[in-house]
Amino acid sequence: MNAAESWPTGVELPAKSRVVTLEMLREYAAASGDHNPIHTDPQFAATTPYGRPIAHGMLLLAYIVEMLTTSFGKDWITTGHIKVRFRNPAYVDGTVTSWGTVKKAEAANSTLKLAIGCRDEDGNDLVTGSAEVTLSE
Amino acid sequence: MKRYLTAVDSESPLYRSEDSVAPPLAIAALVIAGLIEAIGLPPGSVHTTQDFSFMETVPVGSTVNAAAEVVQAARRGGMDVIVIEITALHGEQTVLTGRSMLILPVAGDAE
Repeated sequence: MNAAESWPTGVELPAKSRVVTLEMLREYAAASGDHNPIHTDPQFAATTPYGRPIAHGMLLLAYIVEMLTTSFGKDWITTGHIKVRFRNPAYVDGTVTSWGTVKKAEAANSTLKLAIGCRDEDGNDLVTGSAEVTLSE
Repeated sequence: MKRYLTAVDSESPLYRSEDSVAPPLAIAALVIAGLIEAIGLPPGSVHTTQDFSFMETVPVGSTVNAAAEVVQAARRGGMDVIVIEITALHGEQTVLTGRSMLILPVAGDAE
């Protein structure tokens, strides 16, 4: 059996939920070098259309990528491709749940195509997109 | 790297073993942050779309060279939008490429 065939269409990757706190955003800012105050400074964020701090887009993306890394290991970080759109902000103290579903397994080139994203606690899409990974034997 | 892994709540053994490799998105984040700082994007800018391809692992402790550039800057629907592209290399090997679109705050939105 081809490696991709062991991931039939419709299989869901293990979802994971996290409550995003201001401390987590400040930690991510320090680790990534993204010090945009819209993520870390409640006073500044209050002057923006969002009104309060929102999570870094790349932090939400990192949650999705972590899920893909957990599922596909080294294959993901050597062949992975991901394309996303940020649809809604993730507000501080909100819950973010990453998800992924296999949309197509291409046996000929051992490639999986997936729908991926993350949602908030009310089911609103925060990030949606697609990913592709080629599986080794 | 440890700080990044904690910040993104990563538990992958790929990044925590003795011969661990760097999370590719950590490299991308540092490159993008460097470009944003270099061009002085105003606070309040946010990403709207992103696209990354990962090609090769990078052992922790390696030197990575990166190029980042603004490939498009435009005003759409009253909003200033820029598109940036990045490439990271380990030696001669391209390890990742990426593209990100950001919306810049309209003057008066913030501050």
